[in-house]
Amino acid sequence: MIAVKNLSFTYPKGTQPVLQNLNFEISKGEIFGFLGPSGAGKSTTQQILYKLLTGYEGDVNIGGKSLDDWGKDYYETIGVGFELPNHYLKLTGRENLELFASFYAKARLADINTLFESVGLEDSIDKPVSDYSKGMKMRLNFIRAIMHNPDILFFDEPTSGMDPVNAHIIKEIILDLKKQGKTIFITTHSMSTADQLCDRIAFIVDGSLRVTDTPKALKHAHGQNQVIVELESLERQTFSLEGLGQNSGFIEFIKQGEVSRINSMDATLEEVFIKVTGKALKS
Amino acid sequence: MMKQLAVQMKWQFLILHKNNLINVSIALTVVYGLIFWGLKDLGDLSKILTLLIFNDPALIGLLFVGLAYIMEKNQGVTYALRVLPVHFHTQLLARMFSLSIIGMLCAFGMAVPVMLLNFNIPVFLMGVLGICLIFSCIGIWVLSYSSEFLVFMLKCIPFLLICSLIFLNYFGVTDIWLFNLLPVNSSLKLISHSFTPELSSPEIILHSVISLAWFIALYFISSRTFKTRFLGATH
Repeated sequence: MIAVKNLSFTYPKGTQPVLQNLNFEISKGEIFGFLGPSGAGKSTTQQILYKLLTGYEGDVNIGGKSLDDWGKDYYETIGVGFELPNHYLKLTGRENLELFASFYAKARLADINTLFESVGLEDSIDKPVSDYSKGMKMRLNFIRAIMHNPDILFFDEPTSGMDPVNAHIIKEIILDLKKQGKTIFITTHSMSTADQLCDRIAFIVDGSLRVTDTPKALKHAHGQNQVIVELESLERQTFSLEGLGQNSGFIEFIKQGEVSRINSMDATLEEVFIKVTGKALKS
Repeated sequence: MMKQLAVQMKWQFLILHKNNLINVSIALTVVYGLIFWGLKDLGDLSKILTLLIFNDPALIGLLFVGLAYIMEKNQGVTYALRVLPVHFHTQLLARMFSLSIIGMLCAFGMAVPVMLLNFNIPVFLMGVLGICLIFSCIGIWVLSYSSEFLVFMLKCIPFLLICSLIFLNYFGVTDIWLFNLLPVNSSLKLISHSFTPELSSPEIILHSVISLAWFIALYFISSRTFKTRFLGATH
């Protein structure tokens, strides 16, 4: 659905390339996460994919067509959920959505009341957006991105500014969109969001992709091939996963008392990121 | 394109209304209208009326277009509008035309207390439309080099003063041929003619065409600059 080959970009007045030889592909129905610190090139990549920046080198292919060949109809195909709220503050939530809906073909548009209900904003639909909290504005951002039923969705920090309950609702909707076959590109600082949502993630640092894989594979590859066993007595021991069933030490240990937990020692995504890039990921 | 333009103009009116720009325009028109009503027995007011009517659509076109875009920029909307399946020119023209309609209605409201309906309304509206559109283009161009509204207003002043030089000729203070080359000259002539007929039919057509040509030329220059400098810098 999205294929990026050897993508490089230098701003017109810049001397150094902001993106260097990026290569990645996103399949239809896949959630792809882009993780990196500020200034790594995430926004520049997105702006190229939104068709807001031109003059890049390399090939960007969207839906089987070169990005350069898409016209304004491209924006019927994609939906963009921005990192920061951007609405007409004096208009109500409904008016904001109706205004943006007026740019799209009516046949594809979702019912506005249903959209507001889906993110718990139904009671605020006719209130001016200036009365909304940041989390409410972000939910409005989100439903505006999906209201025209696009095939490809770009979300930049989709749960930013939201309480855990609403963040969970948004994540559930994103997973539901994936089930419907939507291709989803997420940029986030949140490792837990990436872990919960993404089929594959890519780490970008200083304009280069350092690694691209599934969260599970990355955590496994950079973790220890061991399990940690804890008993009710809080006594704990670590055992190698290799031949665990035949490991007499392990069998002896679990016979000593009630086992309270057995955890694999996979790395967290945060640890993987630091290992791979040598940098910490700060929001 | 035309249907999309009409739809977007409807939304522009709502945005202008919600931001009180229409109310401000109406209030100013009422104040001017009452002043003119009080002065209407003092003699021929057509030249003063022309001067003041020139100012109203000029300011609506120039300042309101800037104010509307700067408010949008501050709310982050400009960025969101760039990823929509509508051409940039449709959005820009919708804003310019909706402001011009407000400008025409206000100017009409100012003229009626003095002239009643005894003036050439179509020619008058054509002149006002020309001034609104030309000043909108100037506003868009100045906006391209302004980061905030105060800076924008300060940068607009020289353009207002330069365009107002035409009144030195109009009131007979000077007779400098060069002033006739100012973009608003033909639109001003149309407004003046609507109160005191002085142009032949071919001259009316000529001045209408010149106004239109100025608008197209200025739109071409300002929209390109605006797209690159103002929208291109909106992240």
